[in-house]
Parts: sequence; C-alpha cells; structure tokens
Amino acid sequence: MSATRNRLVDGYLDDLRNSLRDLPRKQREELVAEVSSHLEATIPMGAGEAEVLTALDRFGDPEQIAEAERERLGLGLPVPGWREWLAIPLLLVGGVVLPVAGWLIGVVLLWLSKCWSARDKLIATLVVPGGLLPAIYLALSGVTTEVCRTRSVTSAQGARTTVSQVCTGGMSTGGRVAAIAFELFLILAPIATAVYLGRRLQRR
Amino acid sequence: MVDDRSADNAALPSQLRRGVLEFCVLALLRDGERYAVELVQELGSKDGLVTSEGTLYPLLSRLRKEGVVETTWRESPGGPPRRYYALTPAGRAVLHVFNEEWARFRDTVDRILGQ
Repeated sequence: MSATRNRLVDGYLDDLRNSLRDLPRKQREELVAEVSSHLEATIPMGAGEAEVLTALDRFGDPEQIAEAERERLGLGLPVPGWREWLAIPLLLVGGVVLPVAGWLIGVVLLWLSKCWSARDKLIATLVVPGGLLPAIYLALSGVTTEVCRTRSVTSAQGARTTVSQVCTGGMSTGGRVAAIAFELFLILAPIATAVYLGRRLQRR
Repeated sequence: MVDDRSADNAALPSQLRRGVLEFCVLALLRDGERYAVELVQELGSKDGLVTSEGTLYPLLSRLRKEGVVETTWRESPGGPPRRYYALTPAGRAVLHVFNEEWARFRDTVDRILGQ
C-alpha cells in the first residue's frame, strides 16, 4: 500500500521539479522540499491510490505551482525562439541535408536551450542519433533487399533447359520482418521525438 | 472578441485574489503562530481564495523574504520537525494598514456598485 503512495508522491515531485526546470536550482529544491514535507504530513502512509490521487489533485497542478513561483521571482517562462524551432528540424533531417554535422548543430542548439528539461534533451539526443539519417542509410545500404539472378542451364543433351533462381543477400522471413520493423522504428522514432519536442514548447 | 471577453472574466477573480491573498495569510497569523501545513490547508479550504494549496508555498516564501513573516522549526511528537509561521512586527504593521485601507476600499466599491 505505502509503495503505491510513495510512487505517486515521488512521481508528483518529479513533475514539479520538471515544471520548475528553468528556475535556479536553489529555489527549485527549496520549493520541492516544502511541497514534499507538506505531502509527507497530509497523505498518510497507508493511503490507497484513489486517496493519494485526490490529495495530489487538491494540492494542485505542478505547472500552476511553478507559475506562482516564477511570478514570485519575477521570472517569465523562457519563450521559445528561432533556436528552438530550428533545433527540431535540424535534429530530424539536419543530418540528412548536411551529413552528421547538421544533426550535431541541432544537438548543440537543443542543449543550449532553457525551454526543455534535461530529460527532454536526453530523449531528443538518443532517439535517434542522427535523426532520419540512420533510416535512410539502412534503406540505401540494401541490407533488407534480396538480389535474385535467374540462371539458365542447358543440359548436355541440349534438349532441356533448366531455369534456376539464385538469390543472394536475402534473409530468412523472420530476419526480414525484424529488419523492416527496425527500419520502421528508425523512421517513426525521430518523427515522434520531433513532435514531442514541439509539443513541449507549446505546452502553454 | 467574445473569446477575449470571457478570458478577461476568468482572469478577474485571479487578479482580485492576487492582490489580497497575502493579507489573508497575515490575518490568519494575527492570533499567533501556525503550523505551515494547517495554514495552507485552511487557506485552501476557503471558497475562491486560492487556485490550489500548492500555489501558497511560493507566496509564503515571498512573505518570508519580505520579512513580514518568520518561521521556526519545532519538534513534533512522532514525526519530522514542523515549520511554524508567525507575524513579524513589520508584518503586523502591514496588516494594520491593510485593514484600514481595505475597509475604505470596500465601502467605496460597495457604494458605487449599489448606485
């Protein structure tokens, strides 16, 4: 029971920390500590899932609390500028247009920005390194394509012609399915990451 | 245009609240120190005063920095130490001024609304 409670409370504190990511560490940790001790005092150890969720809901949306804290400190939410909007396409297709370097510029812009959390930046860097470049590389390298050559063999008697097909570079059916799935992942994952980054910029 | 108006209407209570909330915090401390959690829960339970309990912590933090409230940690039986809030002399003075200003302000607004 208390495991569920702790998991939900910790998740909430993580969300709060994430919402406060643009604030100085000292202010962020101070507020998180205060909220943590409030939740510690108000949500009993043995509370069930529904009870914990109700209490957290009543305590409020982390974004709202972060907004109140920004207001107190006289800070605005960092406004996404051209760097952020350039970083997203660069991460996706920069490596294709300007091999590797384009993607690296995107990564630099990504990590310089204050609009994304460290977690967002990590996801954007690792899914997938190079953006769509690996997908295109894999498709062009033709690992998945099968090359077949038709060979005609004329028998010694000259009467019968045997046509045989020799295929090279192919894979077993299972291997091919796995390769296609991997290719799909390499295409879809960077696109999903780009959409995610864009949504994080527009969350207000 | 219609959307603009309704957005303004939604913002109105929050603007009103923002102006007076900190004085409500001071007023609750008038009769002596209060445990932070109880203070936040009491303010949170008042109708239309705060958007959520959580948003009170940044406010309390600001009041601390402004020197109108001060906090002390006290041992609690069978639990972690508790943070208590109390008015400082400066806070008491601010509350006194607000009380008088608020009475005048309220009377004026009531008179105009009642015309």
